[in-house]
Amino acid sequence: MFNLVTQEHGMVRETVHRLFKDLRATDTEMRQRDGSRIASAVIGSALSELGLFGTDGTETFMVSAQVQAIVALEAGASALPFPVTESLAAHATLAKAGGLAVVEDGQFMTLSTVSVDLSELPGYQADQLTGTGLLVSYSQVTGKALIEARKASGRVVLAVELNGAGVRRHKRTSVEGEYLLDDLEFDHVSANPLGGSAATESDVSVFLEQRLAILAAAEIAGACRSMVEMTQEYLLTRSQFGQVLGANQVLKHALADNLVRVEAMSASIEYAAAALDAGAQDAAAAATATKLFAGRAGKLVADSSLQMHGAIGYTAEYHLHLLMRRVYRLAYSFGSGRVQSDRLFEMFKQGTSND
Amino acid sequence: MDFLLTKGQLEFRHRLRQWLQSNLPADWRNGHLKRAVDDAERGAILRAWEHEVFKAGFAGLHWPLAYGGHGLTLVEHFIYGEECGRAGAPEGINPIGRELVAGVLLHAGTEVQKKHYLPRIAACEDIWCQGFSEPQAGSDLTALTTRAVERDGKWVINGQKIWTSYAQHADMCLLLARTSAEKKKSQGISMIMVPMNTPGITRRGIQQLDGVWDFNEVFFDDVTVPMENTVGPVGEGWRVSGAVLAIERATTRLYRQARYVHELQHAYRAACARRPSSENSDLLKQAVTQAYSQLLVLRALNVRFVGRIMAGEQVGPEASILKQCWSHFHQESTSAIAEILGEDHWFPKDDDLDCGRFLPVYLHSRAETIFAGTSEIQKDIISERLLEMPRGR
Repeated sequence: MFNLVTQEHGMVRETVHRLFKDLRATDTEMRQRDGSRIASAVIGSALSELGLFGTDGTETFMVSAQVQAIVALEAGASALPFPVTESLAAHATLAKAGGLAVVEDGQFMTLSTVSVDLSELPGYQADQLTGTGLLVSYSQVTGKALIEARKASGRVVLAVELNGAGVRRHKRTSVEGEYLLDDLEFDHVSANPLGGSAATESDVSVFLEQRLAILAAAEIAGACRSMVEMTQEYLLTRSQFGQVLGANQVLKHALADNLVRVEAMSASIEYAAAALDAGAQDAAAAATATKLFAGRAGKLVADSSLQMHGAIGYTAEYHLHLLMRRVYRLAYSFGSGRVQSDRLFEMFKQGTSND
Repeated sequence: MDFLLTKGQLEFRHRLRQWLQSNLPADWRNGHLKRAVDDAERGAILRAWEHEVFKAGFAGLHWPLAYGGHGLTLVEHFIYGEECGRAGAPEGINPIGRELVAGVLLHAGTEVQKKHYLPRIAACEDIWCQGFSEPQAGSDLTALTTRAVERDGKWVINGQKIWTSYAQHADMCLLLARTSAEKKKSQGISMIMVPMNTPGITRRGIQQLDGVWDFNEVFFDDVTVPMENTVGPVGEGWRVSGAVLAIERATTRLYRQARYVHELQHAYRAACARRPSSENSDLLKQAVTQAYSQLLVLRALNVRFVGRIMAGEQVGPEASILKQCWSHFHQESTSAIAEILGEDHWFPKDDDLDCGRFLPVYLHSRAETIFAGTSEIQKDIISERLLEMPRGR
């Protein structure tokens, strides 16, 4: 019962790991050749072929939090230009709400950032969406998005077509410059809320926020794992003063600290994903704590990995900064530290008052 | 964690929770004894507590039935630790016996040794101390010089140990001594069980900075012990102790996050009771959530380790990752508590808020990155054995 990751999960991990390794090799070759990146559509198709965006809503294993976290972790390790967290979370949310038919087979959806204050959400009234959905990734590629909105009764998640009238894109500057992000301005755009007989609107909103928290944490953990591996290789190959850098205790200890952070993150993600899949009482606290921890620890891994690499790490050509930027972006997306901290505090207080 | 437990484990937890609610020692509240006692009385109270735990059927939960255990799993042991932490129950006087010696004997002891010593540990009839460190052999334990020489079919032991916790209460000592001179320092060391009432043993207490007298120096002058008291093969004590040290790191703090959460919740209640406006303080919120999130992560890491051990995986250098997390996360939690309480932490009043609990806990937590292998040693282990960095020595 304590075995959260089964053999079946292991097989998914191996398959996805190989896939991302190949995609990353292509991306690296393109970057080195002419500075271009692998097309997101290529990545989307590859993931679709694995069955991650199927329309068969009965395949609960592939939309489980644990499987999606495994995929997100491998994606984070590669830091490729594709919205893995968003597309997986959108797909799982559609499955939860019973609306998988909204997405055609092989396509993926994106979504607006969630877990922001209500005042920052666009409004939804009389079946129409008005206002701005923030930080929507790859909206020009997908054409469809889940947008979290505000209505009188609270939060609601809407499935929205993005290429129709009433939608304007405003490009956002981002720490991860090559990762396409826009704010989408909606002017009385018709949209339907997710929820109904399968789940209430509020359930869908909570589900999406929790799923995003876990998957963002998993991508962070994957990127951090890659940074540890890169740094390990660097410390074992780069020599100064007649010995490899890794012989210096201060450096190998800093690397050890990072491995501890990665292992703690990944254990937390595994537990929270299992708790979410089981509908456990402590799932919300686990997911929130996981995202909060991953954001903070991930930034420490990123910052210290750069320090251990020295000047070479500071170049655009070296892969490290792509991983660092992925961590920085995700740490502040789908519930920044402030938001997760506010949520966790409420849960902590409830736990205290129940004693 | 309910979703991970079987029906039987949930029932076990319920039964244990009810027992703890009704059976904590007199004058025990908020995780500590509410009246001042000397070291001897404290030892007696904690020994009596361990005996009550034994009588109630909660000792040796995951040890085999043949050795006085209950034949349950590490999960029940984990539940026991969590529930004790949740209730702020005493931690007892025999952690070395229960969590180190028992593990060593189960791993490397003879049948005679297991059948004799394990039931006595479960019943707290033998309290154990650990004779490993010496004045010149701390982190570098293989530099130990305590000698055990075979004479007339017995070991004759001469030397000195230091930082020997609980020696003042101990009936038995698990000792590492050099039994032959070999090329490598880690060879020629044997592990020997020494009754503490053997003639030739002298003990001198060392007061810790938190005021407690749990540390000791222990001197061995021609201490004679039967050869049958050797644990594992002669000369292979370092290998056997390697297993001890990994067990120590992986399992002795498996459950403690529940206790740390108990401390944090108590501190929060006290802070809000003293200054109701605290609840809206950003400083308090940040301190609480940073600590609490780490404690939840720690629990997930413990669950992972329990799962791996239950699946039969050997715990090796990965245990150092767990040790780093529980020691540092607890230090950060006690620091957060100090921030939350402010003056009440460092200058506690004797009132119902019971803030006097926290200063000893804070001071003790500073030692958690030192004992059971310093953080620096753990980082050496992690970097050298998990990340393949060159050894610096």
